[in-house]
Amino acid sequence: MAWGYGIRTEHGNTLAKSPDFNEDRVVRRVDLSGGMTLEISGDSDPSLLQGLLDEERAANQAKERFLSSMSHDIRTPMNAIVGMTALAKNHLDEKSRVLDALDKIETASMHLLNLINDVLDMSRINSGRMQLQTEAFELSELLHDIMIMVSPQVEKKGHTLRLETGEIAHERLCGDALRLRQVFVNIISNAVKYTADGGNIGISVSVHDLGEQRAELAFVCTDNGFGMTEEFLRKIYEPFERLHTSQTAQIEGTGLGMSIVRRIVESMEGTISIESEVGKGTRVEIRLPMGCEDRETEHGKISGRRFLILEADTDIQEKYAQYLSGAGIAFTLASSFQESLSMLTEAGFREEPYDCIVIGSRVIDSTGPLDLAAYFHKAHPELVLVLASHDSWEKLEYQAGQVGIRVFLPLPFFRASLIRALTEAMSDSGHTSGGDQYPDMQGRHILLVEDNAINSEITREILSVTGAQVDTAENGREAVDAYLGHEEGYYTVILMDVQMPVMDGYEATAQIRSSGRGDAETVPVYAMTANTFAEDIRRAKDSGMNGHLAKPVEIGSLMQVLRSLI
Amino acid sequence: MQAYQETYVANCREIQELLAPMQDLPESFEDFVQARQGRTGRVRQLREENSLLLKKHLVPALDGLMGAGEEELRDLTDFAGQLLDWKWNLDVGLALTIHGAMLRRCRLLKDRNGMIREMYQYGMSMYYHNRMVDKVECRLRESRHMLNEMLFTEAGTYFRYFEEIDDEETRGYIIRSLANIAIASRNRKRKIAASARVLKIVQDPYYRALAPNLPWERFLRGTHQQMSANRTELSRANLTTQELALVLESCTEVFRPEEQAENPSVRWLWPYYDMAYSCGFVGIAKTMKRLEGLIRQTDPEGTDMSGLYGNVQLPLYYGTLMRKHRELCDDGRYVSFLDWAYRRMLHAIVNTPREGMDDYYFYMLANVISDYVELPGNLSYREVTEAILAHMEEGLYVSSLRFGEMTALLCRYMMKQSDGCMDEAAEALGLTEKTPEEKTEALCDFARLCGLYHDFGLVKMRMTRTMQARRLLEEEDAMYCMHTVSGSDDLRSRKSTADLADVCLGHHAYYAGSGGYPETYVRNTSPFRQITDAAHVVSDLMDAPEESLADLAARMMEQAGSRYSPMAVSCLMDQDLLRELQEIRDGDGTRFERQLFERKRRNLMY
Repeated sequence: MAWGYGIRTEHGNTLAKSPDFNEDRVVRRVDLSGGMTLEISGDSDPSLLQGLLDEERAANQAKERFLSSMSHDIRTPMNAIVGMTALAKNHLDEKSRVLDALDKIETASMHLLNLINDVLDMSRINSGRMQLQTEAFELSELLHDIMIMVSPQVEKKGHTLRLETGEIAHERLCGDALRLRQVFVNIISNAVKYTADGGNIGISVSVHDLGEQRAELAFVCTDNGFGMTEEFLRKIYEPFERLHTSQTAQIEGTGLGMSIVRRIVESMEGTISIESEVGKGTRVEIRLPMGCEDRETEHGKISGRRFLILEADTDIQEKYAQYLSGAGIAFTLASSFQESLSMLTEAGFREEPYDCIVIGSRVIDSTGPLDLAAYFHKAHPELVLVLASHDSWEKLEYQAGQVGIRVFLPLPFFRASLIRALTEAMSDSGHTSGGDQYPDMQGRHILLVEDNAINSEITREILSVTGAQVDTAENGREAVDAYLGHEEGYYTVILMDVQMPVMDGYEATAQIRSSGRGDAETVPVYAMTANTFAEDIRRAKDSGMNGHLAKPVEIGSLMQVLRSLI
Repeated sequence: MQAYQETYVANCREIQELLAPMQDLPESFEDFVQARQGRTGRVRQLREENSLLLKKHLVPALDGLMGAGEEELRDLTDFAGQLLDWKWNLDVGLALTIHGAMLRRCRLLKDRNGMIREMYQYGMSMYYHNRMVDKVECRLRESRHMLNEMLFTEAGTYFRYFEEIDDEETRGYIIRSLANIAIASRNRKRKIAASARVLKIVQDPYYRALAPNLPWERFLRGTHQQMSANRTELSRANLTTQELALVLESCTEVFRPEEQAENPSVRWLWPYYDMAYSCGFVGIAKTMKRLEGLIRQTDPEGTDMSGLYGNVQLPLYYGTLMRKHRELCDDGRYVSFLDWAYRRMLHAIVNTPREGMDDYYFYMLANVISDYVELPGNLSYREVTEAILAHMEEGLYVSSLRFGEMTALLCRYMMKQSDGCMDEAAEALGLTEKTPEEKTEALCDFARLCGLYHDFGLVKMRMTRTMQARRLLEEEDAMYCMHTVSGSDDLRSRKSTADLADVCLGHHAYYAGSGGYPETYVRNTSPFRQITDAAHVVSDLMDAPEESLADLAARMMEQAGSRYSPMAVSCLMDQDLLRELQEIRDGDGTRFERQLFERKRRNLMY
């Protein structure tokens, strides 16, 4: 069908026309200003044209409604931002009011950002510009990220959030992880928002094999929230449609989430279904076909190793048992720290030591995994410590490092991610000696500054298994000379006793730091001393030392320092 | 012990004596000042000597511990034993350091018996060291208790090899460690489970035969005592029937014989009555009557363990029960008995002779600070705490008076510079009807009082003695930071001192909240924030006595708005103020000594 357009003047003259304009087939005339007329010509049935025009009109009206809603939703937070900014400016000397205003600006800004993102997503989807990426990703990492993203909301509302995993035929899938995250977080966020405080949210994920490198990812989210009426369910996917009840009046949202979710799911050729009952709750099920890209998981490095798993959550215990037994890995489960200490003692007594302890998310009678790790790190430095947690590693990393945690295992885990974490724990490009794990420092140089012959001998003995070349100095003066006598970057670390004849450790460090060489300020210097007085530790730091190792030396602490440097 | 160790122990004993209140307060102020100056000077000297001894001898000894011979190791163990003897506890932190080093040595050498011994000793040192933060609500306390429990638990896990370990002493340490899980743990159920397990073991003839020389009867009695300490749980609904039975059985075992003895000690009678009350056998009225009887029967001049218990601990229990049964607080009869008992309590505290000021005495003092119940009509918390401060912490009292004077002066200048800057504080103190001059004076007086209490938290934590004997260890430094929370929690919960809490909490916090401690101090919510700002400035001025105020002020100016209040710091640009502050900080402290002297004379009336 070809449409043509022509514009006639009030005198009937053609002012302009399109190439397809056929004045004998004019189907419609529209009056324009200045007495001019727009004529539309075409071959089609006028009623069809009318239908099209009606559709166009409806679409325009929908657009207008959309714009109207959106402009309201944009204007509201903008008003808050502008208003609060003015308030803050007027009360600069009242810190509490300024802080309050800034909090409100932050909330309004986030809301606005979410709205803009949703609108842009909608626009991209509607115009066919949303491109789905297809990349391999680990399902366990995706789920871990999702749990981190929704945890704050869940915690704020005091909900119980339970994640269960069923059959996981493939752990490594091919798809758009970013969009998947968006979909799942959206669904879970709605469940959290539309459930009264202290509710229960259940998530279940499974992956079924479809053959030929294809799998189906099934995601189910249930809640015991407010529920939705049949009537609302019929329009749940329409933009800006939100549940309006007395219970939900204060709940924030853009009203675009489910529209976006459905579009994405449909783009992925998946299905989404929702069941809901008012006052009882809602169940959302999404099924998505995906490619899969399994990787062979080598567990050679952990065969023959012994693992102690400290975890009280029975579901997670089952997963450990399932995956580790399946791979033939030797492990023991403990639910409390008492049990774990008992097992460690027994293992030591029987000379069948454990190689690694995995500290889990829930341990009976414990004040937290980091306290447990701190104890094991000091008492059992031969153990490699792994932390399994739902929390974000970024949040834990610094403190975890301080207490000797080597590897992080994000929860939930599957077979491959578990084996990988344990393999990483057992390797770290390191090697073993007598069952203990040491960092590989072949080709590296350590300067050991110690005036006590026995201490020097013991420390050299400990360091020898790392493969590092250990140079010794008996006082601070010799240490400075040794440092200056080699090229920049020669020493990976300098282990410096403090109280020594001729020149003490503080002075030696200060001289190294002020030597003017390129690595003067960066070469790591660690004090090794029994002196744990706060003032002296501060003095060590002021003289340029990076840290402090207590004497008699704890192997675990020493190895942790070395690992952190390579 | 080696010579330096003997000297250190002797120095610590002397410091304890010098820091103890004077037995007889001199009649004349001049004699008092002279005596104090002499003592203060001597303490300073001993502290320096201690620091030198540790640096010159102990640190190298621990540095070279791996090569130490048997004699040297024995000497160190003896030394630690003198420092932590469970009675005087001259230096618990140092004992902890020594045992920590010994434990590390044993682990490195894979000396199993040594490890078990040192885990026990290190655990005991840690238990006493943890008392510094025992009554302070903080995460550090939870972590340290966890660590303590794990130490004893690990040593206790060797019980399964009891038969295989042929050294009887080591076996004894295993049993002790198992029992001590109960004292280290903060979980009631684990405490009961630990004690129950040990009761079974120590009554088992099999184990007694394996180690016949161990003091089994003492273990048995001690474990029953430990189990009976759970009697407060009898009134709560969170024990199983078996647990209840275990606790009751131990209570009966420990207290019944004492109750039936000819002259039963209040230390055992009260727990017996407490058990009956907790079980519900006896109601509150009868329990209070019994408690009154016990307090009355205690010799008011008694300052031994029994005397302190009856004169100090029992009135605290009386107050606690009144707080629990609120209706008693409206009954004048109980209120006036409590007041009477509290006055006797202060009398006992003030009149305990030096030889009675052992670890138990300080434990009682800490309980007074934590558990004192202030009611309308009885001795105010302010009065009691000021009496304790002046009695026990003379140095802190005087330095706090200086602090208060400097804070008041700075506040005066701040009010002069910015009229109305302390209006919120004035309103909170009910001064709105006063004239501007009266308001200024009242606020300055209030600032002085805040200054007196700014480091109050240190008293309960028993840190001042450690700080005067030597420099703090790294662990103690972390605990030290809790003194603001410790003090403010106690001050805030009593009406007579509630207003003083904010300055106590925030005087080490940065103005912009970007540093300092504690994190829980929120400046903007306090009506006394400007006074706290002033106190923070004064705190840093006093912490650098060797520097001139002009230099310090210039440095503070650079950090105005971040670390320090711009208003407070800008006042320091006034040379007159700097001069006056310098005079207070570095000048003659006679007037502060006089205030101490007068306060101590007032204490004599108790």
